[in-house]
Amino acid sequence: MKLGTRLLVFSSVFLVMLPWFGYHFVKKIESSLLQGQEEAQSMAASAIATVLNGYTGLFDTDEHALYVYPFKQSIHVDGYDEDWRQLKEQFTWYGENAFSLLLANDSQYLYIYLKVIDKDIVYRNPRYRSLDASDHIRLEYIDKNNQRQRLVLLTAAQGSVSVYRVKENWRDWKSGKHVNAVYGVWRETASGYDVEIRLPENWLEPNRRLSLSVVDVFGENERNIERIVSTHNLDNNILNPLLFQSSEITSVLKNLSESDSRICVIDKYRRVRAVTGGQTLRASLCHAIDKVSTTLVDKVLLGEAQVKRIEDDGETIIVAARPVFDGEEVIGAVLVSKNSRQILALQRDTLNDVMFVTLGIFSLVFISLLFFSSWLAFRINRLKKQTASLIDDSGRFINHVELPDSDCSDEIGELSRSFSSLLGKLNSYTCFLETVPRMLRHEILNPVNTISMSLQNIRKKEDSADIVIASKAIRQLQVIVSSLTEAASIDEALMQDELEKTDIAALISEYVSNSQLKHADAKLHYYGVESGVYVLANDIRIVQLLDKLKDNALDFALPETEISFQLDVSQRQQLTISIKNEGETIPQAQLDGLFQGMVSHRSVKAATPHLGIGLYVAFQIAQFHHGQLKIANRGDKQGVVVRLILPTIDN
Amino acid sequence: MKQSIAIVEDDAQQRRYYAEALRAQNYDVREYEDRQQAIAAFDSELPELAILDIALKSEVGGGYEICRYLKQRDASLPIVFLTSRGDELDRIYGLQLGAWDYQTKPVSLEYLIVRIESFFQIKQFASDAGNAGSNKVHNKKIGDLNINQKSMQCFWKAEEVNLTPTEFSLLVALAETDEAVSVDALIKATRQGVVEDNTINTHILHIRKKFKKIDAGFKCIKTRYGFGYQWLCE
Repeated sequence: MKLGTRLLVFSSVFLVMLPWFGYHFVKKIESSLLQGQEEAQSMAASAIATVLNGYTGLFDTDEHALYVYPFKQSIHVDGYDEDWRQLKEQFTWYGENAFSLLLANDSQYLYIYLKVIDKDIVYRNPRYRSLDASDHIRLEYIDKNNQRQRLVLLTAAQGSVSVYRVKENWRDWKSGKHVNAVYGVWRETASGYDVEIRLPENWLEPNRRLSLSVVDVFGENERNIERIVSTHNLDNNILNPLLFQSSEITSVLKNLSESDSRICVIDKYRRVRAVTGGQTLRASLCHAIDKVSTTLVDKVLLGEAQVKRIEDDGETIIVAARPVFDGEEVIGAVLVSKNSRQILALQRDTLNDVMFVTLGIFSLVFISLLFFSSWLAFRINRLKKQTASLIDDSGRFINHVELPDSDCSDEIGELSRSFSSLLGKLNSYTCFLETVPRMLRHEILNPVNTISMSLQNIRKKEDSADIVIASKAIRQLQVIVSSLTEAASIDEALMQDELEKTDIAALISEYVSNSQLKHADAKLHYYGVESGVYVLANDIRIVQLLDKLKDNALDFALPETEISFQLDVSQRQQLTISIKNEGETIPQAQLDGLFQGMVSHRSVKAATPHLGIGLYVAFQIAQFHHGQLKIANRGDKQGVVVRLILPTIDN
Repeated sequence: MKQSIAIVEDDAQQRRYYAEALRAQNYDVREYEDRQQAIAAFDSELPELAILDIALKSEVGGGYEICRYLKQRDASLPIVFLTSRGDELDRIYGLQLGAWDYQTKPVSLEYLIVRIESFFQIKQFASDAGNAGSNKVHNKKIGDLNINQKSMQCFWKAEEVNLTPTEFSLLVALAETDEAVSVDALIKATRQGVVEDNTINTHILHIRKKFKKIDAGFKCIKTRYGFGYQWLCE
């Protein structure tokens, strides 16, 4: 993995943790906010409860009161309980499962829904004049003149019911006219029948007393009243008070409430006496309070203050409840409900902020890291390139450029400085190695010169064979030293040379024929075109190279065998010059080391010393011309072939 | 009057051999072992010929310094380098400084004596020529090339080409014949001891460069690859 990538991956891992921390932080804040809200709601509930403690009259109702649920939406009177669904649980049963009842009101009407259990429905029959000769509903109320009014609702079949105002005996109507202001629908059900009734609410003012009775008549022919089940006590004949939500309490609460919290006051029979605020809340909470949290209400009505969080459809509702006391007795409770939507919204906003900030920081850090790592990579690369450009393949200094960043105080600067010092050491060592042959030459040639001159002096006085031999040895020594220095200084010397376009074919062709003249006893032969192959070269160096290869071939060729020079031009801007001789082969293992200098693997037959320096010099010249020099045993194992591969140029 | 020769060589033994050999030829030989000693002496009196080693004691290029000093004092003074440094670069540098000859150790004393003798002669001829105009007897003309072997002067298209004695002798060897001259023959012509082929190549390169300075189109010295060189003007 590249340095930059690694840096990015590591930093990303840590950066990803930022939003995670943010999330946890927000969660913490949320819970503390919720707790704060709980406390605030509890305090509000306490305050309201304290205010209501003085209003004991507001809760003053008897247990027979009929509770009227406030309805926000309109009710379509059709005998079906669709509209009543949300209050389904609130139906109150009377007379050992004779019927169940639910009352509701809106601003104009009072609605009544009755579910009557009756296996055997007896409908009205015109044959009977009497109004109590069929199953019917009796409705009594106190009108504004404080008069007790009696209505009978009955029908001959399913559908709209007939309503008559009746006398006290419930048998005869007063006027024989339908009471059109009261509208009801009768519908049969599996267990009996349902009746939905609507009557104007202002009839009931100001006494608000009403009673309903279900009269079950037996037998199609007999038509006897079998049972009357009523909502009021038939013995004392006092009508049930209607319990609307208390407008007094509501007006008290209005001053205390906030729009986003719902304050709900219930009496000890768990009937909601007042609701205010909280339009944004799900409306059902207060109506269905028993269902939502029975235990909560139970405990509050026992006198305990309660706070509870209710998870409802994805949102948390906090309900704080405080009992309302009349002396020692609990007469009701105040419930303050508020959902945590605000808090959640706050949390969501904060989370969004955290996300945005994190994203911002992330991209900022990412970009700066990207920039930084690219910058680092660039610097390292630059250092690498510069370092590489300072030395050539063989470790010699070719440039003396100061390395980049060496005055930086960071690690790369340090690296650069240590490279510099390392290269400096390498350079001095290379310099030392390079000067060794020269020093050696200087040190050897001076005594050799002395010996040589001594010998010359001796020779003048007396000439002997020994002196001749000694002189020869001195000459050999000189050749060795000079070839050593040639090899040592070949690179330096090559750098002074200029390359120019040279016809290599003409050069070799001429070279081989001239060499043949020089070496009359050898058989040199050139195979290839006579001219027209161009390379970028220094012709004297190429001749020097060919000399080395030719000398090598001559040294090892068997007598009377041919040494061939072959020029092949390939399509890929390349030419190969193969120089083949017949003779001893070279062990495969030693082939690669042949150009390293001072290495000779074949037994010497020539009179001149053979150090293998020739091949080293040839190799250096080939490299200088961007070429390659390869040595191999011939395929037929009859000798050795040296190949010089050079790039060609177009004419 | 004896001709004076200065020898600057830090090795006492070798210096003694040179001196003995040259004294035997009746030269006035003055020996110095380092640059300071030599320069001090040259300040008062210049020798007529100087033989210099390049490395003198701790001074790696001491000989070059002396050569530069002498050439400043007298540009026509023959200077011979006798050194163990046989690199092409050293050789080129020495010759560029204006040395007449550059011989590598081991030195043949006999050859050294012959060279010095001929240098004195050349010097003599040159001053004679300078005094008495061109000596027509030794003039030789081959095409645009005009050489005077006595004064060792060479003219190309009537302009003088400044060649060192070694270069001059190579040019003469080439110009004397229409045939190609082998490297071996050229080595013999320079009368140097052991010489690599490349030394001749270096000299030829220099000769060509000097001619090209005068005549950019100069192409008369042909390379005969694998054999030698040929004077051939097309």
